[in-house]
Amino acid sequence: MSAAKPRSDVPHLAVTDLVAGYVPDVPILRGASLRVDDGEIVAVLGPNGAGKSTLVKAVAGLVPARSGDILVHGASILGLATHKLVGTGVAYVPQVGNVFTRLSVEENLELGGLGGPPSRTRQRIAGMYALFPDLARFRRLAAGRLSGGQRQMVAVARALMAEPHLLMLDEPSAGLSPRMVELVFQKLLEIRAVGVSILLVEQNAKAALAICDRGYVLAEGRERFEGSGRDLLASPEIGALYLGATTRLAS
Amino acid sequence: MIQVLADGVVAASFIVLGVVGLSMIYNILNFPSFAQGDHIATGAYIALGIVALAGTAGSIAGLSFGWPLIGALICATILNGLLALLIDRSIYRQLRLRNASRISLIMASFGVALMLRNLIVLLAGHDPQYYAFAIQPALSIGGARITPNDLLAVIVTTMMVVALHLFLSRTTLGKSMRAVSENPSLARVNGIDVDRVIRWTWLIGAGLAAIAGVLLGLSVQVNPSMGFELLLPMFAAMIVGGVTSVYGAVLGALLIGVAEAITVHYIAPEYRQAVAFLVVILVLLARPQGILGEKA
Amino acid sequence: MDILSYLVFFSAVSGIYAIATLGLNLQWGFTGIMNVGVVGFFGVGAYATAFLTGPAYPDAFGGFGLPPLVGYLGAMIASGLAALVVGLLTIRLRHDFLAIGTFGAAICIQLLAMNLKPITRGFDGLHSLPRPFAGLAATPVAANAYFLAMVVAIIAAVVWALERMVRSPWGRVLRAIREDEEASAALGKNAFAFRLQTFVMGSMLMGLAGALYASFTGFVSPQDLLPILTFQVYVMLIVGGSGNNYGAVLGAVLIWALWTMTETFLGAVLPAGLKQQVSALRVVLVGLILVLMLLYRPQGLLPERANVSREARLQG
Ligand SMILES: Nc1ncnc2c1ncn2[C@@H]1O[C@H](COP(=O)(O)OP(=O)(O)O)[C@@H](O)[C@H]1O
Ligand SMILES: [Mg+2]
Repeated sequence: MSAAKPRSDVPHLAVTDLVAGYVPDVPILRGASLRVDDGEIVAVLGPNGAGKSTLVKAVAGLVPARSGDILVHGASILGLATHKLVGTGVAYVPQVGNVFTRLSVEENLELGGLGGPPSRTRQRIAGMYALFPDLARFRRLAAGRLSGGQRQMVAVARALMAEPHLLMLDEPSAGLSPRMVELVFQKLLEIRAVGVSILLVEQNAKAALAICDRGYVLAEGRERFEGSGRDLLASPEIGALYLGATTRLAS
Repeated sequence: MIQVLADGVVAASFIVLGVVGLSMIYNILNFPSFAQGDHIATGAYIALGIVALAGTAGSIAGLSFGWPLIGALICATILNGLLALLIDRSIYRQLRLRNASRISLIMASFGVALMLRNLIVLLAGHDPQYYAFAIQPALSIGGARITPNDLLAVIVTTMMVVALHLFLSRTTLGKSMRAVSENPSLARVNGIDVDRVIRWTWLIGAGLAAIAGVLLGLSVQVNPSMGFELLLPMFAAMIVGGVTSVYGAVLGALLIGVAEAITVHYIAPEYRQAVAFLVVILVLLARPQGILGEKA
Repeated sequence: MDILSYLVFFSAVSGIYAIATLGLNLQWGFTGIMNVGVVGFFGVGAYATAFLTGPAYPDAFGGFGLPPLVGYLGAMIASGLAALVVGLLTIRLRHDFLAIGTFGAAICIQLLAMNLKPITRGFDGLHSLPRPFAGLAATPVAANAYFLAMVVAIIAAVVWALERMVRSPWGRVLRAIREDEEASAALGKNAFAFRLQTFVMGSMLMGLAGALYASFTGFVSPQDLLPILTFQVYVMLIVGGSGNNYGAVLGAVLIWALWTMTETFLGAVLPAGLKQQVSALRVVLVGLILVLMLLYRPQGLLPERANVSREARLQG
């Protein structure tokens, strides 16, 4: 079901001058641009309400774009129905409500692999249990009964079921204990290692910058800074102005 | 006592078959359809039309009808589903595309209900009608007397509930339906075509309603308001069962059916419809989430 | 002369509907309470009037022969009390459950009308109610004209009062409640009280309409308590424009005109003996109008005035 592996000199995802919002005439994104290249982990940081979630929702087709463009593997996906996004090789883990709580863990995974042949789905599920051994124990349990960290694992595994080339994660660390955050981010590195690019929206700037290749700082609906993880981490003004976490970054 | 239980289970069968569609539509399209009762009636009348053309000669194993009725039942199930699909396309879908409020959808379903019922009157008149008249001696099962037609209703309903369970728990489409009813936007993100799920919801909901209509018609009679009279018990069953769960609705239907039978036997048959209302009010006051419902 | 008496009759009945529609506008248009039991409160009013003003029936309790005015007041009190009971049970519920609950309440009221024979005489109904102004007017037409004048006066008074109320701080709270069920939940007990107040007041208007209807036709039976009446009143409000009192009155007149005209027209065009079909076709037609309105002009012919709703949003 996943798209053919594209040429690696075209960005996986390119967002250019995107204007988008929930209601007409109230743009939340006001000309945002970003790019995710082959094999990259790209972080999107920014204060609460900056429009980070709106950005990934717009890519997923859940928020209408007014102008600008969204290219996946060089082809515009503007106006694409949300349910066709997985077919382009892009998987998305929303910030909230990212698992079907009334479905079992295994059913969540099955739905993630929708459309593929059943044998392939079973194979993928086994692969997910290998990646997240905890989940195998809870396979028959309703996902709503898992802990926050375990649910996040289900959400990521569900997204990976579609064999995406690009994984978009919206604040996967929200509400998790530091140990759990470390574990999730460790998994992200493992996922990247098998060739999946990652667009990582985060509040937890320190953790995100530590694993990303590049990062963007979003504020007032536009990207204000772009740089390598190390550069952004080292820049005190960025921390002070936009991440509201100077002390945390420095510590 | 056994007789009351038996009558209750028979009454519950029709509610069960109707409430499945009501509950699915409620959970997937997010509004209580006031037309679900009348979908039961249209199903019964479609089958009646087919029987009028094909006849229902003979009688199978003590039942009041012959094989043509089985054929009519199957055709009515499909045609009734298609009718619901047509209504969705031309009305509800248009409202969804306009982001209409839930209240508008409820009002529209109210309008659809009256249109369907009166289209029936227009085409078939007010008078009660019957599928067949063959004599059927009542059976005695464990001390309860039950006609073969009623027994068939219970058996068919049980089969349908089992089939529904297998469908929802084993098939991709069934799981997709559960997914859409819980979280439509995550379902879309997952690659589920929500419009397709909605189409199947109408087909299944109205299809089962047609089966309810035919069985009810065999058990009692066919008349234009036969389905509308089931609407309140169906709402009650859905609410008692916790709204979010089809299984809860099925249990709720059993409860309402037995409560109705108790009222008919021991209290006052003429207040049968009021029972559903009382049960609903009691449940909502005691547990706003219903019996099997989860906290929102 | 014939036309005139028909017109008077028509106007009086549409005026009665207008009063019920104004009641619904208070509940739904201004407060967002989806009362699907309009006919129940209409029925309580109709029966209460019959009970108070009717002649003594040999086979039923009631029939006190009181003057119509006492009947109307009694009707408003009775329907207000009924609404208080139903409201206490359902007004806390979510929109859709409230709709189902009020729908069920109306069905129960109809069941009572059918089965509480010692008071309602079941399907036979309560008949020979005194016609208002019958003693004052020389001819039945004149009596109807007086009645019409009274109905118009009532409508004018109700519209005047409602307009004042919805413009008051009280009315702004109502719209805040309507605009945002969630936010108004934060008002807690307060929102409950406000909703209950409008529910009771609106239902009293429906009860008054029922009382006027019973005393105008001189007869009430369970046949007058069919759910179709609820539907008609909703269509009237939606066509006229919910949230607009003048729209409510306009919608009532228009839809009642359409309702009676289709009967006259179809009755003339179609062969006799198709009476049943004619009334069925008429319902289908009105259903179609409702759906078309919901699709193409959901705000109604006279939309809610913008300044009012903007005010509400600021408040909310
Ligand atoms: N569903 C919605 N409808 C309307 N406005 C919204 C919605 N979701 C978010 N917003 C608004 O969009 C802005 C950006 O929100 P969001 O993208 O969630 O920010 P972030 O994820 O960066 O914290 C906020 O001002 C928020 O109020
Ligand atoms: Mg966010």
